[in-house]
Amino acid sequence: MAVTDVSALGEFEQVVLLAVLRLDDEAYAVSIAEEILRCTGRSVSRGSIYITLDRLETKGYLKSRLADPTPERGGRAKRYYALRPRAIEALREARRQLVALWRGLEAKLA
Amino acid sequence: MSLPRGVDWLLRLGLPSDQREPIAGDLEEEYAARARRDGVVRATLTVWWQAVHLALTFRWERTAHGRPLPPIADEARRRFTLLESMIQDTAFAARLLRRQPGFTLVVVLMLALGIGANTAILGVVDAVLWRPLPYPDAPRVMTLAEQRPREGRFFGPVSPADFFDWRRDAQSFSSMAAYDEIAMNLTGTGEPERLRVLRVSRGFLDVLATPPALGRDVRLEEETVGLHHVVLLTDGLWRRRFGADPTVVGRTVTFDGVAYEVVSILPPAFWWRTHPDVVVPLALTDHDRALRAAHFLEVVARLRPGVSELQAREELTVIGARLSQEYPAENRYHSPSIRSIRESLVGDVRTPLLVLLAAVGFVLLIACANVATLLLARAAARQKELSVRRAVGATRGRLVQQMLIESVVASLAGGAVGVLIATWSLSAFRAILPAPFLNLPGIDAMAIDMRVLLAAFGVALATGLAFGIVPALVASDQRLATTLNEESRGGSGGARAQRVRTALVVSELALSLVLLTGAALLIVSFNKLTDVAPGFRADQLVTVRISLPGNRYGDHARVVAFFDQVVERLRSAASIERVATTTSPPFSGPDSRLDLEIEHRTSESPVPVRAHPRLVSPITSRRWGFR
Repeated sequence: MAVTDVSALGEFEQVVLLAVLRLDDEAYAVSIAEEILRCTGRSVSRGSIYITLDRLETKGYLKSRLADPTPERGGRAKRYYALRPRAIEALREARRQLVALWRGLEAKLA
Repeated sequence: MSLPRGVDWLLRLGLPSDQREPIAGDLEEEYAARARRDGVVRATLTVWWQAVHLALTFRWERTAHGRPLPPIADEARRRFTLLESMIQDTAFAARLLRRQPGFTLVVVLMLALGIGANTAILGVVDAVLWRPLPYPDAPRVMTLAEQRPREGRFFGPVSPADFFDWRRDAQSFSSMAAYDEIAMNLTGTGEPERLRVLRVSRGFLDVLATPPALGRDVRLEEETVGLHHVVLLTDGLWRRRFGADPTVVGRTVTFDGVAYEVVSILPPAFWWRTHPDVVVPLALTDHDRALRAAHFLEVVARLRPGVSELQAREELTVIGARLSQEYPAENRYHSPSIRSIRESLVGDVRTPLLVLLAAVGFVLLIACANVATLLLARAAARQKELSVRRAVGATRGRLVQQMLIESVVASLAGGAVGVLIATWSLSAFRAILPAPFLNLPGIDAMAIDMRVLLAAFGVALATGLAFGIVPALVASDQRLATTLNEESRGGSGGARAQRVRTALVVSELALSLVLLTGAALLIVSFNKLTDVAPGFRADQLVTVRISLPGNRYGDHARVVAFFDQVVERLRSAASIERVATTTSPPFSGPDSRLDLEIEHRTSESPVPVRAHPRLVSPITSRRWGFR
């Protein structure tokens, strides 16, 4: 159920999902944090990114894969994230709800 | 740039195991970037702070929402460990082989011989039997022939009249063509040259689906004598004699003193087993076209799309039966037969080649058994090392893996040397190629290429596993290990280990026996072949083929005069004892025949009485050694 899904998505979770979506195949913790900073100006702690990614994966919104280890990472693998179809649905629903709430408020906020 | 001291430890303490590696990697990446930007001190402080923060956050998260590890991470970690252990074992195996050069040399050489022989024969088999023929949709190209089982002929040449009837009536083929081969002299430009000439009827290039690169195909009207003076040059001759000049199309060249118009250049991909230099139309006189008892044409045809070989055979059988009824004198007991072109090209050499492949396969198996015995002996000497490894926690699987990797490393080294041997033996093989092989497709391109290399790699890998598995299982088995150990201490030897070794030796002996028997039979057959009496004394006999240009020797009397003169002059040569002429020397020549009627014969013979005529000049049987 889309509505239930979205009610389970926190605001920061939405931010992380959108950043992953923007980065296509290049979404891993460091690039996600940078993308959030670039788009919103928010500097987010590394811990909250990892925890959120982990939680989103457990909830079934994200899937991850380990890429080949590279020397500049001391031979350690990199974990890339990608959206599952469920996440796209949830993001669409979140946008629909927000747009609906914003409608007619322009005059009041001007 | 690796992480500052202690950070790794902190991450191990705080992070779930499936998250540890990618997070440490991220931190290390950031540490390097920050150190470049802000200096090492600030980078170290930042990374330390991040590590503490991460460890605490995850600790808290785990206590608050404890959750199982995602399965994907577990799986990835296991794969990595296996890969890591394999790399470790490979390095260890290489060190071990370096430390025992004598042992390594023997093993590598034994395997190199086995793998080398297999690779070389595989190269030949691949080139001849497995590679597609150089024609588009080659499996649809068929060769047609006449079979006369009562005369012991199953795939003989075709008579012109039969060919024209087949071509008119058979619906199974999109094109059908007859051909034969002659020789002509190219004169007029530069040195005269004797050329191999393929004479083909209309449709030959359609059968091969190889259109000319320049110019046009043979036309139907050019099958008529008088209109047939056109020529298609092969790419080789065009380059060699005409400097690849495209304007040669439309010009005339002289063959046997007759002008032929060059109508096309064949593409470089044009291949025919006899490697002709030029192709000309097969023009037959009306008399020749009506011949039904003289069989001298070869026939090829291309199956129509959707028609199978079986359907074509059935149709030809019906046509053949009708012709037998219409022309009982010539065609009784005849029927057309059909084979794929590959079958007719390589049918005779397929079995010998596969037998050869099996034989070298046996050689490899013997090498495997030899090496396995050697490894088994070495395993006994390595029991202490294996026991220590087992004691510190190595599983049996891990020990088997390590020993298998050792044997695979050895066999890959053997394979590398083997490929060198194969390359050398292939070029040697090419130099001593038996005549039936020379006209096979792909024989020119026979080489150790990527396909064969890949096969050699596969063979080496399989070999390593094959000879390594028994010693690996024996050495890693605790019970067997004990007996091996007793043996190495000079005891009477464990019965079980003894049995394994005996089995190896017995299989080796059995394989050797099969090979030796095969080799002995081959030598006996060869001896018998050389002992076959041809019916005349063949030693010190030389044959020369002469064909006279038709335009200068069209008159029968001139031909006779020419040969009389040749014979006369040869007779006067001191080194020549006797001279004779014939239309075709023994065991060769076209397949024409005469029907004989025996006077006063009352019953019909089951086999038609027919003779293959051979015209010869007067000779004395005794002097010529006829028996």
